[in-house]
Amino acid sequence: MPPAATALRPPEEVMRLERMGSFHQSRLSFMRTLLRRMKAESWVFERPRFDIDDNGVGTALYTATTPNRTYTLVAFAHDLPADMRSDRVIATAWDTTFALHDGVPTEADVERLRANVPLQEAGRVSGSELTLSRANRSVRLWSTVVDLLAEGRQPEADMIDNVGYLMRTTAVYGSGKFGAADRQSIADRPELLAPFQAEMLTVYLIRTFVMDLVEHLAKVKSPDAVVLDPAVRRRFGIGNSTGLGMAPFLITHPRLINNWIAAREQALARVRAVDQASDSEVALFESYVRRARRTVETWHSEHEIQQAKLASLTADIDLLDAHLESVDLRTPGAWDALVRWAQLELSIEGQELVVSLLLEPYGHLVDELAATMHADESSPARIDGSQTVASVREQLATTYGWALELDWTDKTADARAWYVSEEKLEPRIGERHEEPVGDYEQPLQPGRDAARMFADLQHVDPASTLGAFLRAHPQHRHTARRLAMVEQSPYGEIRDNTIDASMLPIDLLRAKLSFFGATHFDPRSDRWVRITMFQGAPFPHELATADPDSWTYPEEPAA
Amino acid sequence: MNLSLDEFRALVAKAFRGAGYSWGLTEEGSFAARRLAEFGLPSGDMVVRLLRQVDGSAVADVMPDDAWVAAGGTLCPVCVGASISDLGGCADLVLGATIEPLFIAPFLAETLDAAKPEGYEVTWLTGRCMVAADSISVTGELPEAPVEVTIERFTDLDAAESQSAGRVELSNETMAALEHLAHRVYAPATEASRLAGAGAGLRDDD
Repeated sequence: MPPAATALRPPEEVMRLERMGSFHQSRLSFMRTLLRRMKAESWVFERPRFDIDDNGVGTALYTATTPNRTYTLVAFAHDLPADMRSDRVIATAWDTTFALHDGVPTEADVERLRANVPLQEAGRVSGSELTLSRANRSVRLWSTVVDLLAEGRQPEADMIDNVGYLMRTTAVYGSGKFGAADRQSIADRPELLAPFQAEMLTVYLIRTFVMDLVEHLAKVKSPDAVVLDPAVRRRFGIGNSTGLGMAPFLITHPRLINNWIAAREQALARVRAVDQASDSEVALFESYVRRARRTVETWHSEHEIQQAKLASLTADIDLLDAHLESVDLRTPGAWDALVRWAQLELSIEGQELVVSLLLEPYGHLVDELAATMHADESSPARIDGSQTVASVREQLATTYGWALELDWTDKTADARAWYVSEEKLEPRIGERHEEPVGDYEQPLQPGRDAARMFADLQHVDPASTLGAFLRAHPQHRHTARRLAMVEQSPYGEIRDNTIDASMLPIDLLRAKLSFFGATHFDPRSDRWVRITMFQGAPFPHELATADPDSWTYPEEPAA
Repeated sequence: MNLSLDEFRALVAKAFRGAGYSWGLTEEGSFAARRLAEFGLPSGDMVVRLLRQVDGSAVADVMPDDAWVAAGGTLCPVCVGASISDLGGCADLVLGATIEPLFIAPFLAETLDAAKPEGYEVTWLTGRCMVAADSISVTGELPEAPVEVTIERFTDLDAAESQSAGRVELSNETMAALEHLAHRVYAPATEASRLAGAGAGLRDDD
C-alpha cells in the first residue's frame, strides 16, 4: 500500500512556464515505462534483415516481439550529400528513414514503404504502420567514429559526451499522421496504452540500427575494424531536434497533459508521505545525487539561457550536497522536509531535479502511476449549457484570475501570435504588432481568450444560461469547453501568458520532452531545442541482464 | 486518398475554420465528421456540401434561437447539435430547413447513456437515422439540399448494429474541396516569418 498522500503541489505552482521549462526526466518518463515493460515481459528482439551495402545504402528490419504480437522497424539507409542535410522537419532528404510496422512486413510492405517513407509530404504510410521517422547523421561525430573503429580504436568518452549521439531524428510521427494508424485503434493494447510508446519503441530500435550501421561501415573500411566496446556503445543515444511544431501540443491536449503532470505530482506526494526512509533508500538517493552531478557536467549548451540554468543547477547540487551533510535522511518526514528546503534554497531547475531524484528509490510506490498517464480524447468535452452566467464568471475568475489581472491593452501582453504558415504548413509564432499574422491566429492563448470571454459575460444577465450566451457569442465556445475540461483536469492548463513578448517556446518543448525521458536539453534559440534520447540505455540484447531504470544518469565514478 | 480518422478530423477542422466557424464550433464540427466517418458514412462529401452552403454566411444566420429557428431561415446542423449537447439532450423536436441533418446525430449520441436502451430517431423526407450511444445507422437517401427534420427520443430503442470503419476514403474531388477551404487558415509567408517564425536551423552541419 502506498503511504497516505501529502498535499499535491497546486496547479498554480506547477503549471508555470518557467517551472515547466525546468522539468527533468523521471521514473514516469515514457522511455522508462517502455523499458520496464520490455524487461518485465521479456520481449524478444531480432534483426531478420540487414542488407546495407558498402556505401551505407540499403534496408534493414528490426523486430520487437511482445507476448502477444510483433512490431518491426523498417529502416532505409541512404547516401545523402552533405549539402542536403537539414535540421528542419520539413526537409527533402535524410540519411535514414524509418517506419514502425504493425506485425512482420511482407516484401510488398517493404517495397510500399520504400516508395513512400523517404519522401516528406508526398510520402504516405498505412493503417499497418504506427510511426514514420527520419534521421540525419551527426556530421561532427559520424566519420570520426567510423575511422576510429576502422583503426581498431574506441572513441573517447569526452568526445561522445560532447555530442551524445551519432544520429538525430528530425521528427517521429505517430497517431494517424501521414496515414498511420490512429491512436484509438491501438490504445487497447496494454503495451501501447501509456502515451507515445510506439514512438519511443521506434527511437529505441533506431538507436540499435544506427550502432549496427556505424560498425558495418567501419568494417567496410577495414577488415581489421573493431566493434564498439559495450560500455562505450551505451554512451550513444539518439538525438532529436524539436522546433515549434511540438509546442501547441501542450495547449491542445489539456486532458492528457493533466494526467502526465498529476501522475508526477502524485508520485512526489507519495514519496513526501514516506514516514521514514530505509538505509538502502537513503543510500540510493545519495548515489543518484552524485550521478546527477555527472549529468550536469556532461550537459553542454551554447545557449545563454541554458548556460545560466546549468550554472545555477551546478550551484544547486553543491548546496544539496552540503545540506545532505547536515541532515539525517533517516529521520521521520525527511523527504518532505527536503522538498520544503529545496523550495526555499534552490533554483527552479534545482527544485525540479530534486523532485525527479526523489522518485528514484521508490519504484514500488510510483511506477504504477504510469498506468494513469493516458487520456481518452476521442470526443470533445461536453459543455454544460445550463450553468448560469454568474457561475461561469466565478469559475473563470478562479482558474484564470492571473489572466484577468493582466493589462491586455499593453502591446507586450499580446505581442505574439501562433499561426500556421502557408509555405510549410507548420506552426510558427509571429509578432502580432509587426507582421500580418493576427488574422490567422490559432487558439493557443487560453489566458487572453478567457479574459475576453469574461469581459463579454459582464454585459449579460447573470441569471441567464451559458448555452444562450454561447449561441449569441460562438467565438467563446472553445474557452467554455476549456473551462469545463480544466475543472476536471486542473493540471491541464498553463497558468501563464502564451503570447507574451517574453514567452519562451522552449519551455513548452522541454516540459513535453522531459516526459518522453529526454536529457541534455540544448536550446539552439528561444524556439528550438536539441535533446538526447536513450543515452546510457541497455541495448535489446542487454535488457535481460540490465536494470531497465538505472541508466538515465551516468554511472558513479569508481571510488 | 485513404486517411486515418485523426488525419481526416484535422483536415476537416481546418475546413470548418476556413469556412468561418468559431474555434469551438470547429472542434465540434470536426469531431462530428470523424464520428460519422467512423460509422462508414460519406462524411467528407457531407462536410463539403455543408460548408459550401454555410460559407460566406454569418454564423448568427444559421444558429438556432430559443425556438430552434435560424435568423437566416436555414439551420446549420453543427450549431443545432452543439446546442442540443449543451442542453444534455432534447425532447421531440421539429426543425425547419436544416443543412445535412445527419451531423446532428453524433451530438445526440454523445448525450446518450450506453447502459440504457435509449436513443433518437432523426427523420427527413427521404430517409431516417437511428442513433444510440455507440451506433449511428441510416436508411433511405441522404438529403442533398436543406430539409425539414424531426427528432424523436426513445427510451426503448433496439439499436441496430452499425458498421464501424477505421479509415476514411476520400475522392480527389472531395479532398481538393476540403483542402481549398483549409488553405484559408494558413498565413501567407513573409520573409520575416520564414527566418524567425519556425526557429529551427536551416542547416544541419554539426
